Amino acid sequence: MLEDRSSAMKVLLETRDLDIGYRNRKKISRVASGLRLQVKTGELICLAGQNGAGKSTLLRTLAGVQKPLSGKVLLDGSEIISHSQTSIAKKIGLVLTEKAEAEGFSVRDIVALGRFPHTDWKGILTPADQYKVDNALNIVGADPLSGRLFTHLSDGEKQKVMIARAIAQETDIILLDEPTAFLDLLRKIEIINILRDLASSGTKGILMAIHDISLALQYADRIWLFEPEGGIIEGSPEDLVLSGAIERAFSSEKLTFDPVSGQYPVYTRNNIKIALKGTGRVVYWTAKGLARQGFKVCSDDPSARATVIVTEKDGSFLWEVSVEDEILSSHTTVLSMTDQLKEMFIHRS
Amino acid sequence: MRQGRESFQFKKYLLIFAPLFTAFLIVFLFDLTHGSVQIPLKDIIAVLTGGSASKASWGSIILALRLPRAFTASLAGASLAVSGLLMQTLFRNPLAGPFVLGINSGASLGVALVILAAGTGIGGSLFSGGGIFAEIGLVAAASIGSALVLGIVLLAARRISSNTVILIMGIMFGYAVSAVVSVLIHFSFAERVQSFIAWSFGSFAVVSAKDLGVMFPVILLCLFLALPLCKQLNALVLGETYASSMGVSVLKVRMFLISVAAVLAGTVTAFCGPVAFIGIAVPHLARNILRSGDHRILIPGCILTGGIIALAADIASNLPGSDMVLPLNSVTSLIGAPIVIWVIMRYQHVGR
Repeated sequence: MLEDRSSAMKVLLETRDLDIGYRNRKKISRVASGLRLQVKTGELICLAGQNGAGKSTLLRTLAGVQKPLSGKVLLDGSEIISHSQTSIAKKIGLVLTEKAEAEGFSVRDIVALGRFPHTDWKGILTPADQYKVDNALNIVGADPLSGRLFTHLSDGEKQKVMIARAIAQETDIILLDEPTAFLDLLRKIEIINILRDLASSGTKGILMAIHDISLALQYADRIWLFEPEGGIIEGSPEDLVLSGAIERAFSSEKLTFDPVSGQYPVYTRNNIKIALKGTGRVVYWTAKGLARQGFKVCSDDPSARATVIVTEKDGSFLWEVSVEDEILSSHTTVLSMTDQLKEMFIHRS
Repeated sequence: MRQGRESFQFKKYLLIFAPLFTAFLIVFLFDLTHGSVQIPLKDIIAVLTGGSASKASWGSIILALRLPRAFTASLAGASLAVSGLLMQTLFRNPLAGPFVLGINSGASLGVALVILAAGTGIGGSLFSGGGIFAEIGLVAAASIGSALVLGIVLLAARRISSNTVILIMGIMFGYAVSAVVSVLIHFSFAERVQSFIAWSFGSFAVVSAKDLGVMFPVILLCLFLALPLCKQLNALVLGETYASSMGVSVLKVRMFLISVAAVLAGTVTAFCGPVAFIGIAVPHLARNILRSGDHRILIPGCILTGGIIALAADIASNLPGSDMVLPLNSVTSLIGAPIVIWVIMRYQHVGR
């Protein structure tokens, strides 16, 4: 079974000793070098790296828009430079960050543009084309928007429509350059889920540049990670976290990436330990609240300056603050509890 | 149901364009009745259908003067509008127009050189009817001027990847060429400056039937060349990167679009002088009237709407009820500027 699956994963796009960057008349600025990467069917790959790491340069090179400094990009086994523009357009679809504007175009008109490489010079859609456009709208859940003017949509809806257009283009590969950069968290996750579904349907390989590493860790099948030294290492999110690669790439002088939570913990200002007791999700959120106010949270520690016990009763919570087994105060919100602790330990000292 | 949602369809096509075409015909006939003498519509129709008018002189006025003028107006309006549409789509800028790359500045430089610098006295006979050779001289000068600008723009466009940079370069180039024209004006005799200014007012009446024999085929050819580009133009609406990812060879299409738009605008300018605002305003009008962004609808729409607006401007410049003639360029600006302002206000509404 397992072998069946891996042999069914076809290599769509491949790089061989690829060096990417920009070439001027006098200067060559290398962004990354020695890249050996593969895009296979059925995978959502997130291309991660800090702003300016070279994500867009790599995407442009993979799409054949920009020439590599050296090395090769192979599309379906042959060099991408040898493909005609139409042949590339039939294999690689593109979605960008930029907010597209299209005065007078309906949502369906925009998605229909995806059929561009498949239609004749007049651009008239056959019934089969029509069906594919409808289907693409359906996949992203934009069929109710079909007749609306594109310019009247919200940013999130527009981006869904642009993805539907890429789906209608019927390419094996979809490259996306920060498609969620301008969207709120909920829209980001909606878009990523659409892409996940699309990848897991098994016929497409999807490569998305994203600077939000926590989203990449959560949703990617595989991450291509730009390293500060100018290379890319790849692996599953878990492997990259465990090897410390993510921590290296995403830490700065002031912030360190926490490999356990997969997040950036709040910078701790003091060393006051608070013991926290209780069960369930309320403990997790209480700990977060305490950590943000600068306390070190532990479960049981003799050196803890105070203990917080949280209990749940009839759907409401109660936080009790005690020092040396003597209850000093009780609170119904995390906020008033942390205020009390701040009053006791921080403001007074 | 499904067909109803498809934006391109023959029946719908007919439904949209039948009223627009009727409006065009009405304005065209109305334009024929206007001029230094008013000629009733029934005499116009009689002459056009091969009969004779109630006054003998009217027949020759209609055939020799009015008909060429109305044809010129329709052609000029259509080509300026299409040229403006192509530039607006290529540069994704609602304020782009046929002259945005300095085509008209090139034409005026050519004309200025002939009238002001060469000083052959051509200017004096410009509007006197008898100066056909003189007109051809001006036409040639304007054509060479705009072709020169076009050549330089194309040369640059081959090397520059960003459309925005080309746009800015074109505008700057236009300013530079206009500055040279100003220098020429500064050092010229007053009466020659007067004839240059007369040219710069623009007119549809200066184009004779003979001139039309050149103007008509050139414009028709360019309009036909623009039609197969509709598909590419639609993709370009999303911007160069998207268009190129869908298979548009942006560089080739750009060169082609600039050439077609420039020849359209350059031809009109060479024969009629600079005619402002039609090229900027009509594409917006067409988008609004036709409620579409599809170039397969917009190009024919711009041809008809451009014709209608130019004919209306011609009627207005001949001041119905008097024998005064206003400068055409002022009339088109007075019609065009409010349209452009209205469009910009509307964009702001849509943006909210």
